Parts: sequence; C-alpha cells; structure tokens
Amino acid sequence: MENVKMQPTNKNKKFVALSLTAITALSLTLAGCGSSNNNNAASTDGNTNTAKADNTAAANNTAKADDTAKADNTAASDEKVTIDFWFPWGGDFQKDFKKTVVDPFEAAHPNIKVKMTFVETTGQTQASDKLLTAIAGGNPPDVALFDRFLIGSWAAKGSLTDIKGMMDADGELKPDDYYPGLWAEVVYKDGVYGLPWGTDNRAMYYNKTLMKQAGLDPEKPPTTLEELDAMAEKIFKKGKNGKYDQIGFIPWMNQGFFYTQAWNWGGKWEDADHNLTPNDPQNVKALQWMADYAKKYDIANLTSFSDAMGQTGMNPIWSGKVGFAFDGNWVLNDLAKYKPNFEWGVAPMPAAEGHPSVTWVGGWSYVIPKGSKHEQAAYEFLKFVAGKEGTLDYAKRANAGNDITAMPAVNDELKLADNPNLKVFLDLMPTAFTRPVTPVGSFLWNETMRVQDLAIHGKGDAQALLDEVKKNVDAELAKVGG
Amino acid sequence: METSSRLTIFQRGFAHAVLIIMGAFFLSPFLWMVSTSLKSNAELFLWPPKWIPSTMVWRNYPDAIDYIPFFKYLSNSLLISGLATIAVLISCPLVAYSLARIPWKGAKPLFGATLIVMMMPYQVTMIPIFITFKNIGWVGTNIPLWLPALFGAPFYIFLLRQFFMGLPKELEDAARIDGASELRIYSQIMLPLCKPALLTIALFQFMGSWKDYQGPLIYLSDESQYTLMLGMQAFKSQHGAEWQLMMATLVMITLPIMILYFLVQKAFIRGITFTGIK
Amino acid sequence: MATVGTTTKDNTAALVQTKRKKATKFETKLALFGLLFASPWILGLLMFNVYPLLASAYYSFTTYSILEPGKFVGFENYTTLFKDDVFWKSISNTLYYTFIFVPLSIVQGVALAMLLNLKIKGQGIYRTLFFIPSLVPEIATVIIWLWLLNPQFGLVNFWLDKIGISGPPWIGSEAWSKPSLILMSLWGTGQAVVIYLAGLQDVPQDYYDAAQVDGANAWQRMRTITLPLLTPVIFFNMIMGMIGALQNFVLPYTLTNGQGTPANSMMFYVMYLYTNGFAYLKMGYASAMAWILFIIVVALTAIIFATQKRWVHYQR
Repeated sequence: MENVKMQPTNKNKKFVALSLTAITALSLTLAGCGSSNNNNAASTDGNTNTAKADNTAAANNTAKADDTAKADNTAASDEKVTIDFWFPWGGDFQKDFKKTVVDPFEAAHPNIKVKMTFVETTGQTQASDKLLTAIAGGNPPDVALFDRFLIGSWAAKGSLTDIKGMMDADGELKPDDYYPGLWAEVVYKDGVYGLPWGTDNRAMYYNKTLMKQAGLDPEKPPTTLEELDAMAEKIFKKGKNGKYDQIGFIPWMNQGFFYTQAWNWGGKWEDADHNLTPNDPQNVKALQWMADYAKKYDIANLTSFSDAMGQTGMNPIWSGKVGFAFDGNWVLNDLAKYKPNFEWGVAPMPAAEGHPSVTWVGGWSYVIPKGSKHEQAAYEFLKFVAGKEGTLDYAKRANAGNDITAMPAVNDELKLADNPNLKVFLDLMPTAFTRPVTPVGSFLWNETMRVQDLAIHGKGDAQALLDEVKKNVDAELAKVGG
Repeated sequence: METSSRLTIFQRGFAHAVLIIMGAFFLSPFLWMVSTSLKSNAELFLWPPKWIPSTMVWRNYPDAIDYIPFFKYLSNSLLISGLATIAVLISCPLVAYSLARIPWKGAKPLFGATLIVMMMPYQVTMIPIFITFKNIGWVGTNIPLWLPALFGAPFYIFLLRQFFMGLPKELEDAARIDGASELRIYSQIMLPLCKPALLTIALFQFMGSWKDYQGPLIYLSDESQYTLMLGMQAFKSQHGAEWQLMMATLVMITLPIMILYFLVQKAFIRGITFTGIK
Repeated sequence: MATVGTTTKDNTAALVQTKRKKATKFETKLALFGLLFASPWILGLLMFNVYPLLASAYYSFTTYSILEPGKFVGFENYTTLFKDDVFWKSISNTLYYTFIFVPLSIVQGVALAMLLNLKIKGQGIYRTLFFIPSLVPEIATVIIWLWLLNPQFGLVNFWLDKIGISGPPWIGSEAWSKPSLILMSLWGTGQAVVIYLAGLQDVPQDYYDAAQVDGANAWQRMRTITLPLLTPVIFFNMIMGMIGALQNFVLPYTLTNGQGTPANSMMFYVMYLYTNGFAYLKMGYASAMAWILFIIVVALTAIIFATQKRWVHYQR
C-alpha cells in the first residue's frame, strides 16, 4: 500500500528497540529468579548423581532392567524385540559383520532381531555427534560400536549404561577373558560400560621400490627418526606443475597423529601418579618436529597431495607414491582389494635417537547407550559379539586375517604369528602404550588434534601450544571432578 | 520491464556475452556432476579431466538406487516437505490476512514482532525447542520438522502480507457491509486472488524442507526415517570412493525440484512483491 | 466522548451515540476476527520464539547438559567464552565471510537480475539456468565443489594450469579455504536473483517511457530509475543475506566433517555453537553463544537500518 512508507519505518525502529529492551529486561528478571528456578529444575530432573535421560523412560528402564536381571531370561525371551545397532565404519563392514556375526546371533536368539545402521563419525574423535544427540534426546540405539578410549569420558557424562550388574548376574564373561590394559579402558569408577572388541597397534609401512629408485637399500628401513628424515628427503619428488608426485614421509598422515609421534620421541601423556602431561619436554620436541616438516616441505603442497589422495578413497600407502607411513595392522586387510604393483615391507616405527621403538594400542568396544529400551536383549548381543564366538567368527571372515582380537585365547586359536607382516605388530604388543584412562580422554584427544593442526600451519610455538593444552585439560578435569 | 526496441545491437550483444560467461560459471559445476555420474571407475581421476565419458555408464543410476535405500529416503523427504508445505499454506495466509486486511489494533505490533522474529537466527531457539520436543518424546520422529510450520513462519507471513497489501482496498469493504463473515471473505475473495503468492511460499517452503540438513541431523536418529540429505551425507562417508554413484544420486535428488521449478517459475516470480514494503 | 451540548443538539448527539455504538460493535467484531486469524501465529510466537528465547537465556547461566541438570553459574559461561580462542576465531571467520560474501552476492544478484530483465532472445532459458544451482542442495554443492577444487585433478586447477598458474590447494589451505566457500555460496544465490527480478518487475513501465522521452540512455535509465527503485529490495536482501551468512553452517560443516580444518579457518560461529551443544552437550555454553549471536545480529541490523534513510527510496 502506498501510504506505508518512511514513517512507519521509524515507528518500526522504535518498536524494534522497545521490544528488545523489553525482552532483555524480561530475561534479566528471569535470570534473577534463576537460583530458585534452578532448585526446581534439580528436583524435577531426578537425583543429581545419576543423570537421567528422561524421567519416566529412565525410571521404567531401571525398573525393567532390575526385573529382567532378577527374573530368569525366559520372561524376556517371550517377546520379540528388534535392537538397533549403530556402527561407524563404511565399506564392507556391514556386509561382513552381518554374515559372520549378526546372522548366527539371530539364529541362536530367534526372538531378537538386529537392525544395523551406519552412523558416520564427526570431528576428530571416532565418535558421532548423532549418537550423543540421540542419547540426549532420549532416543538412542540399543548397541553401538564405540571407540574404546572414549568410554571414560562418556561414562562420566552419564551417557552409557553400566553393564556390571548384568555381567555378574549371568557370569559367562570374566574380565580376565580380555587383555588387562584393554579391560581397564571399559571400566569407569566401579562400573563396567562396555565390552572390549578388537585391538590394534601401529608400525611403519615402507615402499621398497621407491627406496631403490632413490638409491637407498630397500632391506634397511630406517630405525631412528633422524634416519627416517634423511631417507624421506631423497624420495620427495615434484612434478612439472610444482606439485608433489611422490612423498617421502608426512608425519601426520594416516596414524601419525601427534599422540603417536610424542611416544616415538620418548614423550609421555601421563606420569606415574596419573597426572596428564601433554607438555612433557619430549612431546614439545615431537610437535616441533612435525611443524618443521610442514615448513620444510610446504604445508600447502603437502595438503594438495593428501587431499587428492583423500578424494580417491584409497589409502596413500597403496598408491605407491609414498615412501614411509605409520599405520595400523588393519591396513593389511586392504591387500585383498588392492594388489599393489610395488614391493613393500613393515617394520616397527623409528624412534628418536636413544629411545626404543614403541607403539600404542587402540581398539573398539560395544556399549549400550543410556536410555536403551531393550537393555537385556542388547546385553545378549554384546555378550555374543564381544564374547569368544562372535570375536572368533568375525576375525575368521574371508578377505581378512589381520585382526588382533581383544581375547588372548582367541588370538592363540587364530595362530596370528604365522602371518609375517602381522608378526611385526604382535611382537610390539607386550610393550605397547595405551592412552591414559581418564574422564577427559576425549577432550585431551581433541586438544592434541587441535594443536597439531595449528602447529603444522605455523600458528603458534609448540611449547606455548602444549602449555595451553595442559591448562585446558586440567581445567576440564576439575570441572568433571576426576 | 525494459523493452528490446530501446537497446542497440551492441548493447544486446554485450548482454548476451555477459550472460553466457556468467552462465558458464553457473552451469559447469552442474554439468560436471552429470558427466561424473556417467563415468566408469577408471575415468574418474584422469588428468586432464574428461568432460565426455568414453562410454556412458547408464548403469550407475540403477546401481545408485540399489546402493542406498533411495526410495525410502525419497518418500521420507517428500512426506516431511509435503507436510511442512501444507502446514504453512494453512497458517500463513490466515495470519497475513489478519495483518494486512483487518483493521484491528493488534496488527501493527504483531507485524513488528514478525519482523523481529524474521531476523532471529534459528540457532538462538534451537536448543530450548530441542529440549521441549525431547520432553514431549518427539525426538526421533519427524514431527518437529513440520509441526512448527502450523503456527506460521515469519518470512512467509511477511511475503503474503506484502501481496495482500497490493490488492485494491475496496475488495472486502462491500462484502463486509453486506454482512458476509470474515471467513467467507477470506476463503472466497482473498485466497483465490493470492494464488501466485501462495505458490511462491509453497515452493520456498518445499525447497527449504527438501534441502534442510540441520533439522533432520538433530531430530532423526533412526535410519529408516532419514531424508535424502541425511542419507546422502551418510552415503558419502560410508562409501567414500563411489563417486560416480554419488553423483548419480545427486542428479536424481536435484531433478525433481528442478522440474517443479520449471513448471511454476512465472507464477513464482509474480508472487513476490515489494510494493509498499514496510 | 460526546460532550453534552445544548438541547437542540441532543438529538443529533443521540444519533451519533448509536452510530458510534454500532461502529464499536463492528470494530470489536473485526478485532476479534483479527485476533482469531492471527492466533496460530501468536501461539507460534510464544511457543517457538519468545519462550525458547527466554529459556536459552536461562540455560546460558547454567551448566545444563540435558543428561545432567547442571547448576547455576551466573556469567561464567560468558566469561569462559571471552577467553576461548576458538570462539574468537569463529567470530572472525564468520564476519570475514559475511562482509565479503554479502556485498558480492548483492552486486552479482542485482547485475544478473537486470540482465535477466532485458527483453532479449532466450531469456527464459537464461533465467532457469541461473536458478539451477540454488536448487542443488548444499550437501550436493559440497560434493561437486570438492571435485572441482581438488588440488591435483580438479577442473579449476586444470584451467588455471592452462593459463600458467599453479593453483592453490583451495579447501585444504588456510588462506584459500574461506574464498573457496564464498565461491560456492555465490554459485547458489539464485533465490536472491529471483527476488531482485520480482522487484524489477514492480517498476512501472511509464517511468521508463518518460525517461525515454527525456532522451535518457540505457545507462542513465538504470542509474536514475532502476537502481533507486530497487533499493528497498536490496535493503531487504541485505538484511536477510547478512542473517543467512552469519548462520553459515551446512557448507563448512559437511566440507570439513565438523572439524573446521585447516587450522580452524573453517570453524564458523554456528558450527562451534552446534559442536558445543550437540557434540559436547554443553547446552549452557551453547546457549550463551546463541545469545551473543542474537546480539550481533541485532547490532548489525540496527546499523543497516540506521543507514537506510540515506540510500533506500520507497516508491510513492
């Protein structure tokens, strides 16, 4: 309409200003009443020590869980249930896992159906925002395949179910069925929050063909980081457009996170009293070394190379364009798919001069997220998958044979040591590190990733960055009350 | 509207040239998507890049449909977008009519509030709304993705109000004097007149819901309820290297909405009016 | 109120009274209907805007995490935020993106709309061509541009190579990641073009006719008629575009899988807000961020509003 013009705009402006002041004033008054409100919130949200996803649902759940735990399983096995299982791995995992584990499980438990859903991981850790949102939203899956070292952090948040009661009640699985270090990762305070499944560690893959071309002895891979630096330098090669055709070594590629490199430099992540030590002097050296690589070989150019690789979806190791790379034993499973047309080998990761070669173990677990509607059935599935039968069946799948399981007994049965490449990894197991078990484990991991990214982009000096990490994790720890 | 008789040959040529150069920038990514969707695995990473695949791999399309539960995701997307569109078509014209054509005291302040809310970022209210839906128990269903639309959406109320304002003022006065009820005036006189604007907001909302990523990301956890956008992202990380299938899926996601747009584009532009803006 | 006049005027006064009563009755009825028709939106305002706004203000003073009730901590979330490097980085990234993308999109949008408003051959084809990208979902945009901008076999670097420039790693490099994002966003601005086009079609033909009679050439007609009359639409799109740019989320989130790499150069405000809220469940912290975002939007909008007198012309 033609009479709605400049004037109303002024009025609107006034109106905007007015309503904003009103809103601000209102919110401030509300905030003022916050303390009394807060008591309300606390009393309605249930008791503070056990975080409840949803009052009624949680209450029902605990009631149900108690019932089923007390009663024998027949009561539970009358009804047909479908359990939701989330997994974060792409590729062939779903097909293989269904065939070797889910189908036999469903055959043995005709009343339980398993629905598999792929849920991608986000951020630097191997966990998914979606999983946490689903738990917070009171609508989680019943079982999730979950990066084991995150259990402490997630249990501290109250987002996982304690299965200790169910474990004790049925008495089939014992903590000593698993490697002690792995078991330690699924325990938080007095509870058990998952079952370990699979373990892995890291070593160096080296390309003999490229070594030969660079005039190096392909049968003598580097044993110290100094040697590695010198050999890698000979392999770097640029094409005519100024971009790298071949890469000697990129410290942060594949499994060469700052975590890994700190240990290779003889650094540590916690002291004897379990205080976190991200700014250990050797850790600082490691980060500095990574940053020096980025400077020397030009981070933009290195990124070009790895981004191009990322797009093809192929592990750079199998492209034949990489001299040395640190990666896990699971990479050996790729051999069934790619038939590399070059010679390669595996050796322990080189360490800094005067330090022994080391490695660290990670691995996975199965957890029952807080708020699952079918805890008992979920536990049946956990027991099967992460117990002897499931563990063995999955490790024996076709096209594999390079898994190190979480159960010593199963590993003996699989005769892993007969596989020469895998033997390199196996021999490192006894001395392998695990990441500190702490409620801020996931935070610490994210922080190391953050400063690694900053350091290699020349943003800040290693010492200052790591001092900051130390300050941040200690502050976070104080908040969690670890 | 400028007419061509006013333009010299040189000016027209210049306009064509600029449009063609800009058009190349706008079209080539899309063409690249189509081209990649018809490639074989062997031709994906060629240097120099190849525009025309040496053999057209039409099989990528049926393969892509088998690769993700395409039709399931499609029907989920259609359902959510459809419900949200119906919802705004029910609520927004009513409100806009009240703001534009009924002389009452509350209209002005309410319109002011609408403008403020239009400027309020979605993230400001995202968390409390999530918590509310969680308490009702609707997280994990598609209800939060369309129900709020039943209560009006500021941008569409604004657009419709502009449109109503542009209609001749005498339209409802005569009817009101004759004692026709407001509902009748609204449904028999006003609504038919604002068809183009209704079409515009319907298309905006449909496209908005169709392309929405953050909403489904937060609210949908069960894979059987995934929309195409959510399924697409999962597909990207689960099968990172199957680029040609991914591109084929993208072409199929984009086509329906393009067809829709071709069908309604003229009316779509007619429905947006800024005469008497604020 | 009718004042009591002389007796001669009594009659008329009474008449006026009854008329007024009727009028007020009619007005009351209308007001009721106005309220009734607007009621869904009044409810919507209260349920989905006012209440959440106040609730998020309250949460921002607590350590609420959904799973745990948390406690009241006063302004602690805000003070922590102001010491949080990533928060500042995300603000500077977001403002960088907003201040470069919005002006560019206005220039591009207006220029395109003017060209698309000319009566030349093939106009229908051109119009749909420019709108196609905005029909492509952002998820798809990301995937396509990942290809085009791939440093080693992407089309863009291939073209640059042809003219003898060694292309940067685009998304992978700190300096080029945000420009890459702006390029992608500009590709999808078809919707704004449509709104400009609609605005152009509102310009009455007789203005042009009059200018033609005065002997104004095409350039002068554009400067004196088209642009001034388009300013309300530019103003509207500027505000909406700015708010959209400040909320930039899907593109950087899916491009970097939620990480904002390299070196946090792609960590945008809403991404960081989402990460805090839904990846760490720091709902209080995220709510504080939401409120700060609201204040930023209000401030920037107020600034734009304050300038409108100088350059926005409303048709009379």
